[in-house]
Amino acid sequence: MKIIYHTMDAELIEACIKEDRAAQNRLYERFYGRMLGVCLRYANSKDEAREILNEGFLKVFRTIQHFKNEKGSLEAWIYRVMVNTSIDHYRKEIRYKEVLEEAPEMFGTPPADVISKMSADELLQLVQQLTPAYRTVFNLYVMEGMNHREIGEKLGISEGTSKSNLAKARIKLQQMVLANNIVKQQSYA
Amino acid sequence: MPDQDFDRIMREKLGGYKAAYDPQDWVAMESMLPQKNDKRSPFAWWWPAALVVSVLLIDVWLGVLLFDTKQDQMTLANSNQEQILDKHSTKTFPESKLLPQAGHVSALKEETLPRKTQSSPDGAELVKDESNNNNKHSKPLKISSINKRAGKKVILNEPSLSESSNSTLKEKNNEATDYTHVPSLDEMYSANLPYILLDSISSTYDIDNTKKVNANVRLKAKKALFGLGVNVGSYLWLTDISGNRHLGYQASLTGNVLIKRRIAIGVGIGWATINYGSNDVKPNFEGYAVPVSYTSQIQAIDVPFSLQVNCLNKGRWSLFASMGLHSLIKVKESYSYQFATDTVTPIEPVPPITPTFNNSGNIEADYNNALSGYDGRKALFARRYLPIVHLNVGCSFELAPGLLIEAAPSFQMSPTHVGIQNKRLWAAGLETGIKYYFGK
Repeated sequence: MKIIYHTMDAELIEACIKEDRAAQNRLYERFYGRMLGVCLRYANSKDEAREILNEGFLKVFRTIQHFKNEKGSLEAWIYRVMVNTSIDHYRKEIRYKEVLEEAPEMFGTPPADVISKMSADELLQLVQQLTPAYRTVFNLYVMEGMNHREIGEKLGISEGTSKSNLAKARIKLQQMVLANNIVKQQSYA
Repeated sequence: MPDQDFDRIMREKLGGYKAAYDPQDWVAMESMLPQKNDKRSPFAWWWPAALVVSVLLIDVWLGVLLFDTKQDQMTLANSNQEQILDKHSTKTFPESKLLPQAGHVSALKEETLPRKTQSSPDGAELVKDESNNNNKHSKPLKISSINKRAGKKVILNEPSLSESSNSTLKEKNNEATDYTHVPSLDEMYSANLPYILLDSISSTYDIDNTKKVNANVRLKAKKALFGLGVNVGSYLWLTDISGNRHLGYQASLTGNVLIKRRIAIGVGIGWATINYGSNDVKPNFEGYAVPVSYTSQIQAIDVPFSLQVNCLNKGRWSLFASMGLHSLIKVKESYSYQFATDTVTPIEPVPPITPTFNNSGNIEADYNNALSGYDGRKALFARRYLPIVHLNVGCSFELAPGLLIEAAPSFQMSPTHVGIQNKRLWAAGLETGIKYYFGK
């Protein structure tokens, strides 16, 4: 099964290298859902996520001839392209926008079952409400599994700033989860 | 709640998130992709190849146009020389029967071609052939002036074979064309067409002046990999069909640019040595058919230009075809010939001749000094530019990422005729090289 899958991948890649529009469409459709999910985590809105997604796919189509099967799956490669495009997008954003980072205050942590009951869409909306700096560090640390040194190198910030942004991102998210929970309880009442 | 638990829940919830597909996003994506690619892709491979082939054809055509006129006249001059030789040989044949002794040719020459030496007002030595006094167009030649222009290293050590008809030949050459014309560097560079190829690439980019195409151009420029290589070739020159085989050598340092995934253009500079020769049979003064052996050597700066297409890739191995042009700028050219009387075959029944002498001669041209024509043969040296077309088909092996070693059988041909023998050069050989491409 795996062999068949790789053969199909190879054919798809070969067709994309030849700039076959139908093959490009198939590739786009196949990885759209997963990759838009990635972009939504890094963007502050769905429109911005789509913009990052298409920018990422454009890079994929232009550089697909450099993809080598031995180094990993096609999906993993496209995933890395999307994360890197999101980081590029973040860099552009902080260059042109002056973002004021508020220091959040700690009210308490929400119980684990409160977060578990929330849907992925709801959590995604909360992540999008974070400032770009908090959101990007949170994604790179929690979702991509990078350490603070790697994050610092990627974003051009110090390790201390990365740690601080991550802590603030967690506090902010937990506050928003609590606030969301209160609103829900009030609406049920 | 501990941070680790919070992170884990967030990872579980968001890690596998998949958004629903929206066809409108593909419409937006498609508008960002290059519009022309679907139509152009079948030809994308071929336009550089077509361009290079065109350049080569133009080069061959220019070579024929610029040089063949001279060669036609040169051939005429050579045929005149042969006629004169025949004429003299007929005259002197009966005498040679009586005097089959060593050195008799020189004595004979003095008798049949009386020469007179006089001085010109500027001190140059003038030579006039009195056997052609009736010719109104006959003009004396300034030998010392010519030798000055030919440079210090021009050695004229001609045997009696040429001396007997030298002055007559000079006059005929002067009437036919101006062989003293030396192509200037500008003229030679004007025939060096690879530069036009590079200009064409630039102008093609300039024509498509849209925003998207500009983006493509930037991408291509970014993707183009630059490599440095060393090529060494050894060639068996097949021009000599009479049994003698001469090897030529080429070595060059090349810069290569990978313009497409499988297409690379290379330009370089190096050194080439070409040895070639031929055997012939000529009548000597006595009318005997004498085997004459010619050998020539060209030493030149080599400016190779090539287009390489990788056809098949299997693992680290790759099959490639390469074609292009070696522009040779000659630095030195020497020509020598030798004939002996010990192997003569009489054209007419003659009394036996005791082998008595060997004769040989050479002409050498040093292109570091301005070269002028001296006679029909010498003028052939005055052409400094020698184009040689090559076709290689071989394989390369990737020793390490970016490091390639190549070997290819090579076939070479000069589109123009070359040297005293006035022949087209053909060669087959082996070319090897090693290249390193910088970047990923």
